[in-house]
Amino acid sequence: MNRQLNLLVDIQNKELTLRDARDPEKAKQFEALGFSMDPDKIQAEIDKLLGEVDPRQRRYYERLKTRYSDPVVPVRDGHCTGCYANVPTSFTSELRKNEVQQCESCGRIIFQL
Amino acid sequence: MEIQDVLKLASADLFLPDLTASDKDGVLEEMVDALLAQSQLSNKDSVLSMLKSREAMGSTAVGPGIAFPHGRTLATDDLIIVIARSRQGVPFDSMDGDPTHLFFMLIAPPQDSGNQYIRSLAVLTEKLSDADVRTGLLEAGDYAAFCQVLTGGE
Repeated sequence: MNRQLNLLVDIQNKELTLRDARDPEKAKQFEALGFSMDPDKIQAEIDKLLGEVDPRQRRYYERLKTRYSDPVVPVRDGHCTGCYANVPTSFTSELRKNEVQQCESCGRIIFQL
Repeated sequence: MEIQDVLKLASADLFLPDLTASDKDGVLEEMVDALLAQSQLSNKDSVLSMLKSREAMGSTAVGPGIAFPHGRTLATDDLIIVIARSRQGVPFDSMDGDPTHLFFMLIAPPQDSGNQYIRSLAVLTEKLSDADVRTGLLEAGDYAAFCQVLTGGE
C-alpha cells in the first residue's frame, strides 16, 4: 500500500481506539477487565502520524474529519462503505495501484481491502 | 453471551497450538499471518500497527500466563478471534512479569452491534480466571479438546 494511504488508514484505525477510550461507558468496561485506556497516548500517536502525512492530504483529511466520523473507509463489493455509492471500475483499478483516492459521491478517502 | 457464542467467532483454522515466536512482536505477527491466510483481510501492516499501538497503551497480558491482544480495524466487518499457545511461554510485559502461554486475539470491526467485542473479552477473561481451565488449555491435544476445556465439556 502507498505510504500516504497506509498512514491515513493507520490513523483512522487509531481513531477507532480513541473513540472507545473517550466513550466513558466503554472505557469503564475495558478498565474493569484490566485493560488500560489512555486517550492522551493514542492522541499523541495520531498526532505523530499526522505529522508524516503530506500537508495537502492532511488538510483534506482534517476537513473530512469535521464532516464525518469515518473519513477513511474501505471499498467493498465495488461500493464506498461510507456512503454506499458505487465506485466506478476505473477508480477500482486506481485503488489497486494503492493511490490515495476519494469517493466521487461523498469525498471520503477510500482504499481497497 | 456464553463461551459457546464466543467460540463461534474462532475456528480450528485460526488456532495456533504451538507458536514459534519468542517475543511480543513475533507473536502478534504470527497470529496476524494466520488470520490473513484464512480471511479476506489483506492489510497486514495496518492490523499489526493497530495491535502494537494497543499494546503500547498498556500490555494486554492481564491474566496469569494469558494475553488478549485486541483492537478495532477498518479491515473487518466482523469480530474475529485468533487463538494461540506457546508451550515455552513468551515475554509479553505481563503484570506479574511471567511469560505468557495463551493468546486470544480479538480483531473487531469499527462498529459492532450489541457490544460483542467487549462482551467477548469479558467472557474470556472470566473463563480464564480459573486455574484449572488454564492448565487444561495448556494440555489440550487439539482444537476440539481446547474448546471442550473452555466449555466445560458442554
